[in-house]
Amino acid sequence: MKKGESAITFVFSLIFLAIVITIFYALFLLSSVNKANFSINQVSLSDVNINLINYLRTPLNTTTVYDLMINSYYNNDYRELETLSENIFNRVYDNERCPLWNIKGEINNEKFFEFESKFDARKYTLSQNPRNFLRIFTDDYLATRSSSFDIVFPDNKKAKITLLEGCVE
Amino acid sequence: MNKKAQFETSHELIIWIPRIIALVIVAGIVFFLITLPVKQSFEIDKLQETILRQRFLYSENCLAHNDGKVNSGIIDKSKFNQKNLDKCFEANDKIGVNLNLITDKIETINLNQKIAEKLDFCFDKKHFTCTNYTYYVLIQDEKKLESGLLNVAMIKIK
Amino acid sequence: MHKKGDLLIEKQLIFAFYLILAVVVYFMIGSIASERSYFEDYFVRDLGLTIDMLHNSPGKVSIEYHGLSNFNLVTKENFVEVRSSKNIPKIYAFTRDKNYVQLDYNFNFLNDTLKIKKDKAIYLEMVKK
Repeated sequence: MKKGESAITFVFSLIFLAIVITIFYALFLLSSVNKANFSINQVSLSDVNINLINYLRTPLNTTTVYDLMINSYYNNDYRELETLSENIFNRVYDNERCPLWNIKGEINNEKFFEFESKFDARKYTLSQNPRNFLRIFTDDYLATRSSSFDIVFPDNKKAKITLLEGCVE
Repeated sequence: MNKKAQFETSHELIIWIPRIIALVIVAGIVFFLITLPVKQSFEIDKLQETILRQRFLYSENCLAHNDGKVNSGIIDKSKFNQKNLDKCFEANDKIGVNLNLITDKIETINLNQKIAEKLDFCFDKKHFTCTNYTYYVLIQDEKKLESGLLNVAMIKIK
Repeated sequence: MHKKGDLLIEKQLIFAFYLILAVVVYFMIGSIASERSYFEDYFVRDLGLTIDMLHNSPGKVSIEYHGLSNFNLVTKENFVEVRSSKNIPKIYAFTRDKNYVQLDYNFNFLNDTLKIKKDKAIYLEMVKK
């Protein structure tokens, strides 16, 4: 190997090393984005708790949604509950900021009702178009939070009511 | 006169120049990579705003209805006024809040009006941190309990 | 003429450079990691957020901070300030509830414990070891 060749390869090897370190670090930075947001989501759970508990104690003439839920279960007729839930949650979760909501009831891990928003997930997933790869660098993403509440039916069955919301951060 | 030796020395120096430049670049990148994450301070503005906006619904001094026990999430309609909210939430000169209580009509209260007016500039994430959340609330108005929405928009100057 | 000895010197020089670089980086990280101002910055924000959060609690709450040493904690009106002798003071502006008594404290910590209590108002207390 000639003197000139060894000098050039030395320089190129250093530059290559610098590029490798930079790429490695860029990946590290990208992967750590979610860690910073974790604590904010946990504190925001209180907000979902408020929405769920108010939903259950919403007054309906002489009863509440809680009572309607129990009656719906025993009559196996959820139409009124569904209409009411959609009226309430479609008002709370407007389409732009918080497009996703889902409310469900389970007894022994078996769902006895589930209602959700008409939400198109495709808007918030990465585009299939390879030319749109830059979307990965945007700040907007859908953060989901859920809150659960246990209620006891008259025959001592324990039901779990869960409200899930998805908001753009 | 040692021309051959002089030629060899200057030739060696010329070869060393790119090496030194490359070494300096690598050293600079290494220092940069180490100091970059260390100098970054952790941002807590959004966390702070989340905790502050919950005060309106959790604290009986603000809006929470109290009938012997504090009912978080149920708003006492008589507490939704400028004087009461200014007292329970003394916003510093960097935070502004816009509250909208929505029933069959919309009632609006601004805390720290000068800053709250800047909510339209929330797209400028470099200078402002903004949060906006709508709660589903129950409103106790004398003997009547009705449902409504409470929208809390908060802005903080960075 | 490229002699064998030159190549050896070149390798030694580069090795020495990397060694010096590694030692310098080690001491840089060491000094930054042990820098006190990061602890103070973290502590003042944690304390400030805790005071803000306590306003949301409907009942009684008591929180203790242990292992605090050699700094001065000042609370007035609506801010918390932590300072040590050589660093710039770190400040967090919390949002005051005027229904509560104003926080007005000045503590000098020497491995003491800080207690924050919330009942009908918010109180701070320094417990000496």
